[in-house]
Amino acid sequence: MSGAAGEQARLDAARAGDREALGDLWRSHNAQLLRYLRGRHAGNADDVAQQVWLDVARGLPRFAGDADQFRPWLFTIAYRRLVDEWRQPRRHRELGMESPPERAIDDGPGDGLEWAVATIRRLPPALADAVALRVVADLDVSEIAEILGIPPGTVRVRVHRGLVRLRELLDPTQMDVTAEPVSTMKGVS
Amino acid sequence: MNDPSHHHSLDELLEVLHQPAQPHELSQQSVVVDRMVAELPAAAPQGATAMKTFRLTRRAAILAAVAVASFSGVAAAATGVVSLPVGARTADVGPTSSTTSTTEAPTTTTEVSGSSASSTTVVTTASPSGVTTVATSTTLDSLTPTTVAGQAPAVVCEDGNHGATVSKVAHDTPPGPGHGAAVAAAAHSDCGKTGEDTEGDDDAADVDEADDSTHDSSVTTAPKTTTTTVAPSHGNESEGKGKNAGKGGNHGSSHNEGESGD
Repeated sequence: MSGAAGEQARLDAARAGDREALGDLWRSHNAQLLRYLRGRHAGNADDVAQQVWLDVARGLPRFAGDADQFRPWLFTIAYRRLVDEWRQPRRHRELGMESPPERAIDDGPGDGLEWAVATIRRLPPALADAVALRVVADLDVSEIAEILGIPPGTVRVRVHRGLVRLRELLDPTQMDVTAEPVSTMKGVS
Repeated sequence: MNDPSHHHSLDELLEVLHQPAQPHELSQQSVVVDRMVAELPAAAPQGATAMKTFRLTRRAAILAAVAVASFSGVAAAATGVVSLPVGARTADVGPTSSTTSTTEAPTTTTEVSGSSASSTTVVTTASPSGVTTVATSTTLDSLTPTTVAGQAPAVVCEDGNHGATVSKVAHDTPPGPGHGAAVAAAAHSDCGKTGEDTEGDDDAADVDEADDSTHDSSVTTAPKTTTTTVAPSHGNESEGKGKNAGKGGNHGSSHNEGESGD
């Protein structure tokens, strides 16, 4: 069975409630989902990711898209969950509670990943959204535009500026980054 | 490259973000998938139920709206009937009735016309005014009593003689600006003529039921008819009927009642 056909069959099986197919879906996307959530200040990324997957399970019978549309749909749910998460800390602050501390850059397993997502977290929110969805979730511009509810041109600009800003953060000596176009960067088209 | 103090390149960062899933990122698979499986079967029926409920609710809302709209229309009509005087009720019942009722007004007037100029005026006014508005009808009401007062006994059409009716109107109406109009109205009336409208006489009983005095004097009928604000619905007919002002009160009224009864 070809890759695309296999993906579609797996999605159909998951939609029908097949446990193994659901497990395959989860394994295929959970790592990206966690990195995205961590890069976007999710207080407890594991819990949020779990909620996202439960939302997926609830919505799967009504999901009419094909396998290619599953990932954009997954990250649409994730983005909305994140928005809910961001509102909660604000309520906590209003109540005099502290928001959850950010993870240390080098604690826990996979600290390389932690370093990477922590770097993305240092971006302004608008840029971080665009970069995380483009680089981590690997979505194209039109899909990101739909998720964020902004024009594709705005997405391109934000991704570009976000990557430029990341480069500045990674190497402070390159403060004048405008010389190198973003399109030449690895993994970014 | 994991050393934060070391200056990394953007390429390195992107490589890290694209690396395969790490064990700790897949550690909760069984827990999450179990919960997903638990949610999935429950989700379908719930979703279906929710949709059904929504559709049913929407249908119920639409039906309720339609029902309210239709009932409110009926209520409005009913209100109109109730608010009007007894005689007017007939007219309100239906457009057809309205027309007839209009006819009555002039008829009564004609009878009266013999006694006073004011009654003549009434006749003239009756036709067009009935057609126009409720306000007009009010005018009729106010005029009717006056006319009625002197003319109740003068009802000519009792014997059903058209010529006698016209003659009496001509004699009774004093010379003046209203004389010609009064006579013309009487001449154009159906009073004393045998025709399709005859059946209306039988229906006059309905009026009598509403008001006993009606039968004896056209006057009584007149107010009711006059009330006919109803006229607006049949502007053309009312005008035509207006010319029949010469009809006897009972005759005209019988028309109204008969049609209204339908």
